[in-house]
Amino acid sequence: MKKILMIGWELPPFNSGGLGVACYYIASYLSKKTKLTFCLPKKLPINKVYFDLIFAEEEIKILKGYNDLKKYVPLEMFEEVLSYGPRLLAKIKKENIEFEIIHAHDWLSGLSGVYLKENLNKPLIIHIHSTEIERTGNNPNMVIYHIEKEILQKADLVISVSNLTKNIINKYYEIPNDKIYTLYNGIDLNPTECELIPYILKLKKEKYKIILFVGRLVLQKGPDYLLSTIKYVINYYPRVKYIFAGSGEMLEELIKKAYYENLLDYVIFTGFLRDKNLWSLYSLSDVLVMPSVFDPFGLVALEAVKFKLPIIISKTSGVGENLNNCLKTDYWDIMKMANYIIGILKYEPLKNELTNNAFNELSKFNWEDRVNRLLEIYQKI
Amino acid sequence: MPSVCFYFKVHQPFRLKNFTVFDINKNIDYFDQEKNKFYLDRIVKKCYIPTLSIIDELIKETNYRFKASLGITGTLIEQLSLWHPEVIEKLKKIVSTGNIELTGETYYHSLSSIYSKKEFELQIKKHKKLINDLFGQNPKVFSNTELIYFDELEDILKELDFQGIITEGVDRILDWRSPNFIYSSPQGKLKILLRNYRLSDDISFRFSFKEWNEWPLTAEKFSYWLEQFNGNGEVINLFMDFETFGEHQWPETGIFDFLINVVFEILKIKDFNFLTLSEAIKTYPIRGQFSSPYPITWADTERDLTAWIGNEMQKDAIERLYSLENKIKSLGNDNIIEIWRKLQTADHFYYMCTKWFSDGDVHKYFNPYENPYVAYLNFRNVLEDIYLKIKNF
Repeated sequence: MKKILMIGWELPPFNSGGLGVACYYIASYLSKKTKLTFCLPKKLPINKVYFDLIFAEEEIKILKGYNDLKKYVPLEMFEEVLSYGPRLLAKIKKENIEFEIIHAHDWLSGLSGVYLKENLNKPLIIHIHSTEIERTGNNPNMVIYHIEKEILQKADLVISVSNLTKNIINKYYEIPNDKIYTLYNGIDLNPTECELIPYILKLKKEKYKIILFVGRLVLQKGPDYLLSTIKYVINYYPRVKYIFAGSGEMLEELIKKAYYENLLDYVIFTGFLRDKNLWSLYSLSDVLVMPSVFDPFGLVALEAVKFKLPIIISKTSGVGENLNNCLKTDYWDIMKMANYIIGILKYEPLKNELTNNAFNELSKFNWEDRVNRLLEIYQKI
Repeated sequence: MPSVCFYFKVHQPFRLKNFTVFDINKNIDYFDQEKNKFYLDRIVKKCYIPTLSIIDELIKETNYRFKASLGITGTLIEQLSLWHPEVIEKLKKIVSTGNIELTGETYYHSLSSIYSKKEFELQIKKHKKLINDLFGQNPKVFSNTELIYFDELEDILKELDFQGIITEGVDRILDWRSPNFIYSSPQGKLKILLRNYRLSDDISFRFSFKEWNEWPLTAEKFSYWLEQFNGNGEVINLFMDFETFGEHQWPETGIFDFLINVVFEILKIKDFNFLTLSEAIKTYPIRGQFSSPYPITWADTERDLTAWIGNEMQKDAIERLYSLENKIKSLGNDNIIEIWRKLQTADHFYYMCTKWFSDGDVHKYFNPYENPYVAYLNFRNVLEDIYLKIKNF
């Protein structure tokens, strides 16, 4: 087995979304099968990981051209992205870390992957969890887009979390399809501990039906489309609460929309939740809707299934390529989404068949298999 | 002298409109005539017309030695009358040769034999009348929906004047015995013809399957296999969906040439001939008893009803439907009764089947739904509408 240098950007609990979670599990399972060193851009108090973890050196060495780029990219993290490669190289040399393949996740770590490839002459795999095209609804920040394009073209092999994203990489970044391998994410199937939120528990006891959204409140995740179903659903289920678990730039817009349509009684915004609190929401809800305009994968769908929650997902979600036992709709098809929500609330057999069959399907997403597939992909290089 | 019995099931359902919860109680029609016409146009062009023409020619060119049996459902005949009367004319023409036997069916291709004996009888009678009126034949052999058979049927069918029934040659019942003989039901009221599933599936499923070690299947090879039964079999029953020809197996696979050639090849074999189903049960003696207290079918590997009533959604939908029987009949409104019966067509429940769905292997043939859940939701919404209709009556 080849030794792997895996370049990541974040790990739980210091993660903003699915990328950190996926990296954590890939690294954990992979380290059982091969020598793996996982890298993060800065030192964080992460304990309880069962793989070798290194942090890039602290001192910052500015790349050539950085000051020019800075004008166009108002991202504070940009400095960290650009300096990640040199800082990591310094660390690798200092600690004399050995590896044969570089495996970097998304553009945030991808740029340093390219830097290491060029300096150490090792093959590079770029693992794409989402592209700028997808994150912005094809209205990309051109600097980020060009960085992505460059790292994808310089990579020896590309891994994509779904065929949906593979097609984007092919079409918008001009990467030949035979260089891209799809590797679906997995889910941790071990039981998880819940910490019930008293208010939600109270709603449940008062026989409210709970419709759940989990994800960042951004355009890409489509929370506004779900909000639009409320006025139809309440005609059938007046005792209903839509819970939006997540934070993001659309929060204000969503609150305003609910206010103007006189729907504030039906919505709850919890802010970003994680672990025990999030699990408890899954366990108390009646249906999860993932109305993403574009979701390269969509881990929350699998999390909901794990808690035996029936799910409705948009057709533009990568997870749907490998998960069959769910209801699928176009994100913009409000009436269909409402029809499905009411159907699930109304017809018990629909709910039961959906949840049981989807739950049985989760075995397709166990991390052990996912990582075995990854090892096969490593062989292609 | 072994005989070959071809039987083709010819059926199309009345598919439902996309019917959401928002359509409930708005007095909207349930059936999607546009969609039904679309599917019918296609199947008529790809299968019915070419295959019926071939059968017509085969009868003449073999000097009336080629024979076959057809089971045509009432729901299909209604659709043909609406949109493709030329197919009915074609059917009349081949039936008039005397070489085509029409079997008894449930008019609506329903599972009424399982859920309502009263309804079952009524649908058989309705079908019998239709076949008699259109084709001047009085069906003597019964072919249930999906070839369902269980012992209880023999009393009912005997009373309805049937002499025989066809069903699946299920291994677990036959055990060491061969499907290639005539059997009788336990009380001896019916003769039973059993499908030789290996040979039937060689044509209907495996014909174009390139990984099959017998591919390509030629007429010579197939008739050679049949010849091996000379001396140890009397009836070789090849029962399949009519859509095998031109639809399940596309014309490019060579299925039409195969059908033509295999008939001539079989007639070349010494002592072989073709018989219709009722001729077969008249010609050969009963060689044993075939009994199943539980319903068997020709479906899947389980040969049971799980593709129709295997999951909670299917059971809920069908049980709710049949529980309306007395109420609906008491209203005395023919229109509602007719709708209720069209909803009994087995296809509606087949669309809700979740077996193998996790592997992406859907029962998707002519399936208007993207998945079994949507099929149930749609059907269930229609039922909800019917509840309200009845209440307001």
